[in-house]
Amino acid sequence: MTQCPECEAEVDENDKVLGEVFPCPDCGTELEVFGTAPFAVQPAPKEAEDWGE
Amino acid sequence: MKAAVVGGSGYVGGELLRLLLRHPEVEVVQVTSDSMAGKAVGRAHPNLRRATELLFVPHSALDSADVTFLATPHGEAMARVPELLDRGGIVIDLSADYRLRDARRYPEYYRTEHAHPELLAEAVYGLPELHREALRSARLIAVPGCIATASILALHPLVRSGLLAPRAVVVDAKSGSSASGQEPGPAGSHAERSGVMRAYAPAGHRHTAEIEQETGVTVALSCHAVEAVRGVLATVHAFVARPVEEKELWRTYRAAYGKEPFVRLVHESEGIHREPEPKILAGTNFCDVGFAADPHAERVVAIAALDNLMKGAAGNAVQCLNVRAGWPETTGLDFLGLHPL
Repeated sequence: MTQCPECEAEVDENDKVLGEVFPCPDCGTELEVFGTAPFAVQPAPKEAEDWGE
Repeated sequence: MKAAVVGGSGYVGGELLRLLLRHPEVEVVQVTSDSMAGKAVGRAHPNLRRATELLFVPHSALDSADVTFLATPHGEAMARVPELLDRGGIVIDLSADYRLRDARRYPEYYRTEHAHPELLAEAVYGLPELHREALRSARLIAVPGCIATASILALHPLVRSGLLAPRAVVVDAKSGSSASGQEPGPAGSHAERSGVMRAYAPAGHRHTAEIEQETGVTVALSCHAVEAVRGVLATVHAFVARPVEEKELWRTYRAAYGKEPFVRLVHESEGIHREPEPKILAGTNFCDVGFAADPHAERVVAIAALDNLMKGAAGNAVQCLNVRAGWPETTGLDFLGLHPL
């Protein structure tokens, strides 16, 4: 089972394809599929947010 | 199962009725209120109009039931419980009267001696996440206070993990106006309450005793009234004995609550609702729990949010009944809340 690199939640491969971006079910981090055999994910690149808080 | 609600005209009583009248395994047979005796339930709780034909009856008319919920002010259940137990049904008390196992803490926190200290050892503290097995055979269930529930659920995994430094834990709690009940008072008038951000109990809040009993740590609790009708937000500042990373906190909280139906872990890296907040929980039985590591200050911040009338009172009481009766724990408690609200 592959884990989210941020929170270690188990993430399912299901029908995900290389390059697909999806949110971690626990911490919501956007993850990018960078391998399918074996299934592997990494945090997806993102634009910095500034909430002004 | 036939159920009676004692003290059904208050906010907690109304919330209990809302849940029980739609519970597939429960038939509400009596609702008592001395002040509303003879009046329709919908007069006190307009959201329940036409949901039931029951009228309030005086407390003195209470009959036996399979389960009796006590939603009376603190101090009133104390004397009533022994007789109800003698009748043979399950008693679920939503006041503080049977929450504390040590009778000496009642004069300290509630300014009264306990009338039946012999029953305190038998009462099961009604928090399924901590006492599920004991609840399955309980005769007397003491439903926790709302601020206590949020604080305990935030703190419990940290205590269990052994991460905490040997010092007091600080709990900063905010609550909405319904947490203080329906009785009118000067602090609850619109002019005083509207826009409020008030430290109404910076120290010495009564729920301190419950939190300490259930967690085993010294608690420095400060409570604030905020501009909301429903909701409790407890922010726990727990100082740790060694540096802690967030992945370890995820493991710690998952180990405690991974299979809990009403505790959701909320600590998201993106979006608006990254940490628990009570607003979206109104009417639900969820307690959302979040956390953050703060190595700079050698602390963990744990955050819990709930609806004080639901997971903080009536919803949790129904969850306890579900456990006690052996029904699926979520029966009658499947509302997901509203957004936006």
